[in-house]
Amino acid sequence: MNSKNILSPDQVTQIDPEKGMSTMENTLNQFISTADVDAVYGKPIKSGDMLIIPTAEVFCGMGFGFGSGGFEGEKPQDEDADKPGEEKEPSSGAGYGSGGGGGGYTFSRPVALVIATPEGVRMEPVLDRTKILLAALTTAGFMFGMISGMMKSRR
Amino acid sequence: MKPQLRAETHPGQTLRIGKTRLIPFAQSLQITLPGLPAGFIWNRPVSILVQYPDGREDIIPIPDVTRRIQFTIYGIGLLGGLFLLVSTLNQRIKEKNK
Repeated sequence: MNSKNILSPDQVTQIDPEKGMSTMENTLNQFISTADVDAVYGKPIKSGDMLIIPTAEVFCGMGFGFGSGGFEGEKPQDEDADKPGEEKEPSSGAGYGSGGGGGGYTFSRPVALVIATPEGVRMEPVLDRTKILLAALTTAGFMFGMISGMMKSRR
Repeated sequence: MKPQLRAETHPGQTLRIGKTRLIPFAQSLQITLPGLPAGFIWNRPVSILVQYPDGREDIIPIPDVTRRIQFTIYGIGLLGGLFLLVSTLNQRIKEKNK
Protein backbone atom coordinates (compact mmCIF):
# COMPACT_ATOMS: atom_id res chain seq x y z
CA MET A 1 0.00 0.00 0.00
CA ASN A 2 1.26 3.44 -0.87
CA SER A 3 1.62 5.62 2.20
CA LYS A 4 1.13 8.75 0.06
CA ASN A 5 -2.57 7.87 -0.30
CA ILE A 6 -3.23 8.05 3.40
CA LEU A 7 -4.66 11.40 4.43
CA SER A 8 -3.90 12.99 7.71
CA PRO A 9 -6.91 13.77 9.95
CA ASP A 10 -6.68 17.50 9.20
CA GLN A 11 -6.87 16.76 5.47
CA VAL A 12 -10.12 14.85 5.86
CA THR A 13 -13.30 16.91 5.78
CA GLN A 14 -15.55 15.59 8.47
CA ILE A 15 -19.24 15.22 7.67
CA ASP A 16 -21.58 15.78 10.54
CA PRO A 17 -23.66 12.56 10.67
CA GLU A 18 -26.71 14.44 11.96
CA LYS A 19 -26.49 16.92 9.11
CA GLY A 20 -26.08 14.07 6.66
CA MET A 21 -29.13 12.30 8.05
CA SER A 22 -31.26 15.46 7.90
CA THR A 23 -30.17 16.04 4.29
CA MET A 24 -31.18 12.48 3.45
CA GLU A 25 -34.50 12.92 5.25
CA ASN A 26 -35.21 16.11 3.31
CA THR A 27 -34.40 14.41 0.03
CA LEU A 28 -36.59 11.46 1.01
CA ASN A 29 -39.50 13.81 1.83
CA GLN A 30 -39.03 15.63 -1.47
CA PHE A 31 -39.10 12.32 -3.26
CA ILE A 32 -42.24 11.21 -1.44
CA SER A 33 -43.95 14.48 -2.38
CA THR A 34 -43.32 13.73 -6.06
CA ALA A 35 -45.63 10.73 -5.72
CA ASP A 36 -48.38 12.74 -4.04
CA VAL A 37 -52.10 12.82 -4.99
CA ASP A 38 -51.47 16.21 -6.60
CA ALA A 39 -48.93 14.52 -8.85
CA VAL A 40 -51.52 11.92 -9.89
CA TYR A 41 -54.13 14.54 -10.79
CA GLY A 42 -52.65 17.32 -12.84
CA LYS A 43 -53.62 20.96 -12.85
CA PRO A 44 -57.16 21.27 -14.25
CA ILE A 45 -57.45 22.98 -17.61
CA LYS A 46 -60.53 25.13 -18.11
CA SER A 47 -61.88 25.58 -21.60
CA GLY A 48 -65.21 27.41 -21.64
CA ASP A 49 -67.66 25.32 -19.63
CA MET A 50 -65.38 22.32 -19.85
CA LEU A 51 -62.88 21.27 -17.20
CA ILE A 52 -60.16 18.83 -18.24
CA ILE A 53 -58.20 17.01 -15.52
CA PRO A 54 -55.19 14.98 -16.67
CA THR A 55 -54.45 11.88 -14.59
CA ALA A 56 -51.24 9.90 -14.42
CA GLU A 57 -49.71 7.08 -12.47
CA VAL A 58 -46.51 7.96 -10.65
CA PHE A 59 -43.88 5.47 -9.59
CA CYS A 60 -41.01 6.48 -7.40
CA GLY A 61 -38.12 4.40 -6.07
CA MET A 62 -35.24 5.55 -3.94
CA GLY A 63 -32.38 4.38 -1.83
CA PHE A 64 -29.67 5.92 0.31
CA GLY A 65 -26.52 4.80 1.96
CA PHE A 66 -24.35 6.30 4.61
CA GLY A 67 -21.10 5.03 5.97
CA SER A 68 -17.96 5.98 7.76
CA GLY A 69 -14.56 4.48 8.09
CA GLY A 70 -11.54 5.04 10.23
CA PHE A 71 -7.89 4.44 10.66
CA GLU A 72 -6.08 5.01 13.88
CA GLY A 73 -2.46 4.21 14.27
CA GLU A 74 0.84 5.06 12.67
CA LYS A 75 1.51 5.39 8.96
CA PRO A 76 3.74 2.65 7.60
CA GLN A 77 7.25 4.05 7.42
CA ASP A 78 8.55 1.60 4.87
CA GLU A 79 6.85 1.06 1.52
CA ASP A 80 8.17 -2.51 1.43
CA ALA A 81 6.50 -3.30 4.72
CA ASP A 82 3.58 -4.97 2.95
CA LYS A 83 5.84 -7.55 1.26
CA PRO A 84 5.26 -11.06 2.52
CA GLY A 85 7.85 -12.50 4.82
CA GLU A 86 8.97 -9.13 6.07
CA GLU A 87 8.03 -7.80 9.43
CA LYS A 88 5.80 -4.77 9.34
CA GLU A 89 6.91 -1.64 11.07
CA PRO A 90 4.54 -0.08 13.54
CA SER A 91 2.54 2.73 11.91
CA SER A 92 1.30 5.98 13.37
CA GLY A 93 -1.38 8.51 12.44
CA ALA A 94 -5.12 8.63 12.32
CA GLY A 95 -7.43 8.91 9.36
CA TYR A 96 -11.14 8.60 9.21
CA GLY A 97 -13.92 9.78 7.01
CA SER A 98 -17.55 9.40 6.26
CA GLY A 99 -19.71 9.64 3.22
CA GLY A 100 -23.10 9.04 1.83
CA GLY A 101 -24.85 8.54 -1.42
CA GLY A 102 -28.18 7.83 -2.87
CA GLY A 103 -30.19 7.42 -5.96
CA GLY A 104 -33.73 7.45 -7.12
CA TYR A 105 -36.05 7.08 -10.02
CA THR A 106 -39.38 8.72 -10.73
CA PHE A 107 -41.59 7.61 -13.54
CA SER A 108 -44.91 9.01 -14.64
CA ARG A 109 -47.35 7.80 -17.28
CA PRO A 110 -50.62 9.44 -18.37
CA VAL A 111 -53.64 7.24 -17.67
CA ALA A 112 -56.75 9.17 -18.66
CA LEU A 113 -58.35 12.54 -19.07
CA VAL A 114 -61.34 13.46 -16.95
CA ILE A 115 -63.63 15.75 -18.90
CA ALA A 116 -66.20 17.51 -16.75
CA THR A 117 -68.99 19.59 -18.23
CA PRO A 118 -72.16 20.92 -16.60
CA GLU A 119 -73.98 18.02 -18.32
CA GLY A 120 -71.81 15.35 -16.77
CA VAL A 121 -68.39 13.82 -16.28
CA ARG A 122 -66.75 11.42 -18.72
CA MET A 123 -63.42 9.66 -19.05
CA GLU A 124 -61.10 9.60 -22.04
CA PRO A 125 -58.44 6.90 -21.62
CA VAL A 126 -54.92 7.63 -22.84
CA LEU A 127 -53.47 4.75 -24.85
CA ASP A 128 -49.71 4.26 -24.67
CA ARG A 129 -49.15 2.64 -28.05
CA THR A 130 -45.42 2.12 -27.45
CA LYS A 131 -46.07 0.05 -24.31
CA ILE A 132 -48.72 -2.01 -26.08
CA LEU A 133 -46.43 -2.61 -29.05
CA LEU A 134 -43.59 -3.63 -26.74
CA ALA A 135 -45.88 -6.07 -24.91
CA ALA A 136 -47.01 -7.54 -28.24
CA LEU A 137 -43.42 -7.90 -29.47
CA THR A 138 -42.32 -9.52 -26.18
CA THR A 139 -45.19 -12.00 -26.36
CA ALA A 140 -44.53 -12.72 -30.04
CA GLY A 141 -40.85 -13.31 -29.26
CA PHE A 142 -41.73 -15.63 -26.39
CA MET A 143 -44.17 -17.61 -28.54
CA PHE A 144 -41.68 -17.82 -31.42
CA GLY A 145 -38.98 -19.06 -29.03
CA MET A 146 -41.28 -21.72 -27.61
CA ILE A 147 -42.47 -22.95 -31.02
CA SER A 148 -38.95 -23.09 -32.47
CA GLY A 149 -37.71 -24.91 -29.36
CA MET A 150 -40.43 -27.51 -29.73
CA MET A 151 -39.76 -27.95 -33.46
CA LYS A 152 -36.08 -28.57 -32.69
CA SER A 153 -36.86 -31.12 -29.99
CA ARG A 154 -39.14 -33.02 -32.41
CA ARG A 155 -36.30 -33.43 -34.88
CA MET B 1 -37.47 -8.11 9.53
CA LYS B 2 -40.16 -7.98 6.87
CA PRO B 3 -40.54 -5.21 4.33
CA GLN B 4 -43.42 -2.90 5.14
CA LEU B 5 -46.22 -2.63 2.66
CA ARG B 6 -48.81 0.09 2.97
CA ALA B 7 -51.74 0.70 0.64
CA GLU B 8 -53.85 3.81 1.14
CA THR B 9 -56.53 5.72 -0.71
CA HIS B 10 -56.28 9.50 -0.52
CA PRO B 11 -58.80 12.13 -1.59
CA GLY B 12 -57.43 14.98 -3.64
CA GLN B 13 -58.39 18.61 -3.85
CA THR B 14 -62.11 19.20 -4.48
CA LEU B 15 -62.87 20.78 -7.85
CA ARG B 16 -66.00 22.62 -8.89
CA ILE B 17 -67.66 22.95 -12.23
CA GLY B 18 -70.77 25.04 -11.86
CA LYS B 19 -72.54 23.61 -8.82
CA THR B 20 -71.12 20.12 -9.35
CA ARG B 21 -68.29 19.05 -7.06
CA LEU B 22 -65.58 16.62 -8.11
CA ILE B 23 -63.44 14.79 -5.56
CA PRO B 24 -60.58 12.77 -7.08
CA PHE B 25 -59.23 9.70 -5.29
CA ALA B 26 -55.78 8.21 -5.68
CA GLN B 27 -54.36 4.96 -4.35
CA SER B 28 -50.82 4.73 -3.12
CA LEU B 29 -48.73 1.67 -2.44
CA GLN B 30 -45.64 2.21 -0.34
CA ILE B 31 -42.97 -0.40 0.19
CA THR B 32 -40.21 0.39 2.64
CA LEU B 33 -37.33 -1.86 3.50
CA PRO B 34 -36.72 -1.87 7.24
CA GLY B 35 -33.21 -1.08 8.31
CA LEU B 36 -32.47 0.42 4.92
CA PRO B 37 -33.25 3.97 3.85
CA ALA B 38 -34.88 2.75 0.66
CA GLY B 39 -38.39 2.37 -0.64
CA PHE B 40 -40.86 2.48 -3.49
CA ILE B 41 -44.05 4.47 -3.94
CA TRP B 42 -46.62 3.77 -6.59
CA ASN B 43 -49.52 6.19 -6.94
CA ARG B 44 -52.38 5.75 -9.37
CA PRO B 45 -55.71 7.43 -9.95
CA VAL B 46 -58.66 5.32 -8.80
CA SER B 47 -61.92 7.19 -9.23
CA ILE B 48 -63.71 10.50 -9.13
CA LEU B 49 -66.63 11.16 -6.85
CA VAL B 50 -69.14 13.48 -8.53
CA GLN B 51 -71.57 15.31 -6.27
CA TYR B 52 -74.42 16.88 -8.24
CA PRO B 53 -76.35 19.92 -6.94
CA ASP B 54 -79.47 17.77 -6.38
CA GLY B 55 -77.53 15.64 -3.87
CA ARG B 56 -76.94 12.73 -6.25
CA GLU B 57 -73.51 11.12 -6.09
CA ASP B 58 -71.67 9.18 -8.77
CA ILE B 59 -68.41 7.31 -8.56
CA ILE B 60 -66.62 7.26 -11.91
CA PRO B 61 -63.74 4.76 -12.00
CA ILE B 62 -60.60 5.68 -13.93
CA PRO B 63 -59.64 2.68 -16.05
CA ASP B 64 -56.02 2.14 -17.04
CA VAL B 65 -56.67 0.85 -20.55
CA THR B 66 -52.98 0.57 -21.48
CA ARG B 67 -52.28 -1.69 -18.49
CA ARG B 68 -55.33 -3.83 -19.20
CA ILE B 69 -54.27 -4.36 -22.82
CA GLN B 70 -50.68 -5.09 -21.69
CA PHE B 71 -51.84 -7.73 -19.18
CA THR B 72 -54.23 -9.25 -21.73
CA ILE B 73 -51.39 -9.62 -24.25
CA TYR B 74 -49.07 -11.14 -21.61
CA GLY B 75 -51.89 -13.44 -20.46
CA ILE B 76 -52.53 -14.63 -24.01
CA GLY B 77 -48.80 -15.28 -24.42
CA LEU B 78 -48.58 -17.27 -21.20
CA LEU B 79 -51.71 -19.29 -21.95
CA GLY B 80 -50.48 -19.95 -25.49
CA GLY B 81 -47.11 -21.08 -24.16
CA LEU B 82 -48.79 -23.33 -21.60
CA PHE B 83 -51.05 -24.82 -24.29
CA LEU B 84 -48.06 -25.52 -26.54
CA LEU B 85 -46.17 -27.13 -23.67
CA VAL B 86 -49.08 -29.38 -22.69
CA SER B 87 -49.80 -30.40 -26.29
CA THR B 88 -46.13 -31.25 -26.91
CA LEU B 89 -45.94 -33.30 -23.71
CA ASN B 90 -49.14 -35.13 -24.68
CA GLN B 91 -47.70 -35.96 -28.09
CA ARG B 92 -44.49 -37.28 -26.56
CA ILE B 93 -46.42 -39.50 -24.17
CA LYS B 94 -48.48 -40.84 -27.08
CA GLU B 95 -45.32 -41.53 -29.12
CA LYS B 96 -43.74 -43.38 -26.20
CA ASN B 97 -46.83 -45.53 -25.70
CA LYS B 98 -46.88 -46.58 -29.38
